[in-house]
Amino acid sequence: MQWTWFHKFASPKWFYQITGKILPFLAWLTFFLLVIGLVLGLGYAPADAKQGNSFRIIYIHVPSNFLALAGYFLMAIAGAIGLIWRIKLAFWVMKCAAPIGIVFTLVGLLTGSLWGKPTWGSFWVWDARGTSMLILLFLYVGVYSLGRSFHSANSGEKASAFLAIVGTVNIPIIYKSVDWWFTLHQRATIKFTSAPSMHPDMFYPLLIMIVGFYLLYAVVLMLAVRAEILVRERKTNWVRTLVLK
Amino acid sequence: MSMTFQFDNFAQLIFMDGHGVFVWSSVLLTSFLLLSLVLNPILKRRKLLKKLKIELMGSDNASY
Amino acid sequence: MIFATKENLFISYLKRDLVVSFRGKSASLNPLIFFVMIVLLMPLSLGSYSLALQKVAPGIIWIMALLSVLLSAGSIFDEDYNDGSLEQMIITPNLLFLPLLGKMTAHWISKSLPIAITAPFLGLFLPMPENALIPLLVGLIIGTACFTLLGSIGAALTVPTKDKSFLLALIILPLYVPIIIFGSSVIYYMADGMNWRYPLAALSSIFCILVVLSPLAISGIFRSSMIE
Repeated sequence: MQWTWFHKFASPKWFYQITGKILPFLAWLTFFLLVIGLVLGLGYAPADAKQGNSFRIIYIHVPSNFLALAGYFLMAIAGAIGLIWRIKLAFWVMKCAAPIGIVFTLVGLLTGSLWGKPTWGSFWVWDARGTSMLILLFLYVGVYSLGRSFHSANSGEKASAFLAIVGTVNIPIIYKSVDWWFTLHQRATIKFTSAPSMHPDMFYPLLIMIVGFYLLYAVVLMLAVRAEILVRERKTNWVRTLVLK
Repeated sequence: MSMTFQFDNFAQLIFMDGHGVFVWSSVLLTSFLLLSLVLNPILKRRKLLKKLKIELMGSDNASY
Repeated sequence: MIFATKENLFISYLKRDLVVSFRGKSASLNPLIFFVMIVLLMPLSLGSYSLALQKVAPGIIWIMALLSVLLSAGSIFDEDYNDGSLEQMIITPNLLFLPLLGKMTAHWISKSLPIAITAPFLGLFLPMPENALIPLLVGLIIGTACFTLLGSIGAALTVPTKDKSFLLALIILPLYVPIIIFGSSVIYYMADGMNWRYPLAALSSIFCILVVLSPLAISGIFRSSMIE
């Protein structure tokens, strides 16, 4: 089997150069998608029958929650790749994904509570989804702070990769248990807007926003990994020629 | 699919039947957080490039 | 033949760690004393209105048991790390699974199990209804084992770091969520007249997963940290 193609992806220099080429294009695409999605969502989508205009927060809330969860899996997979094939680039991707994931989770939580105030009359309700997101935030914070509490960066990366993998195994169990806890301690019945019956005029802007958020995540992650590559590879020849160019 | 603008004027778009505070504050908060996520690595990279350049130029000058 | 040597590895580490912990009597009792004291502080801070206390008592006991086990499990590898015997264990060609399981079992027997056994007596103090004491005991016996197994993963991750107690809590507490939920609802199920064997079964299945995964994860952590 030829594994050379695989090792090309592992080269920081290659990654730096290729992302440098595609980033401008990707950034503009992201920008346009987000602007279009936001304008359509905030101005053109019809107001929800029950919740009125407050439902427009969905166009930020749902995509950021998607990315918060997907980002955790990406982080864990990157960590696993780093551990199995000893690829330092994968560790750097994992390291950069942690703070990004924290911000996306925070956005999801904050918009969720801003949505909750007009809908349920309180900024925080202990419902299953919000609680799961809160625990996801804690998992992210754990990975983030574990990676930064070692003297050698290498052992910090290995430790947080292991923690991310352990967390991934736990996430389904946590989600199930929180769901179960919610049905046990349910006090007020909270009605969520059911997604399947969404009007197309409401749904298409959401789809645009989700795609836009995915691209935004890719852009932000690439930017962070590029900065990390420069820091870690500052002693190498290719960075020196790049700097002097 | 024909979508129409839902608000009569700018003031209504901002007010949104009383929900504007929540909608617009979440939009602003999100854009602030995500924009900082974009700008932070760009600034960090630019600063680092500048610093490395000074270092390398300095060592080059010294060697000549 | 091979099986016999592996079994001996488990037993020998179990024995060794038990002997070590019983020799230093006072140190191995510290988690238990901490647990008793902090639970008994609760009526002093919440007031002794028995009705209000009765409602929160199971939750209090579970959370305090969690804290006590977490604090003690966090240093499970410290002594071996400091005197170098951890390194000795890692570089042997044996699988690490059984030695690690032996160490964790010894830790559970000497530090966590006393907490689980004391809990029903503290439950009488708070007071909890008497028919809730058996579910509390059974739940805590399995629950403290889960706490030890997961806490040891955290201990393995933070072995070389300094000032680890908060870091350990930070990385392990979110993982404790399902155990706390199922464990405390064993008692709430009983109080509501439902069959408390359901949450207990969920708790036991978590234990079964952890018994396999935790030694595997820890040996992975140790082995990879040796390759620099």
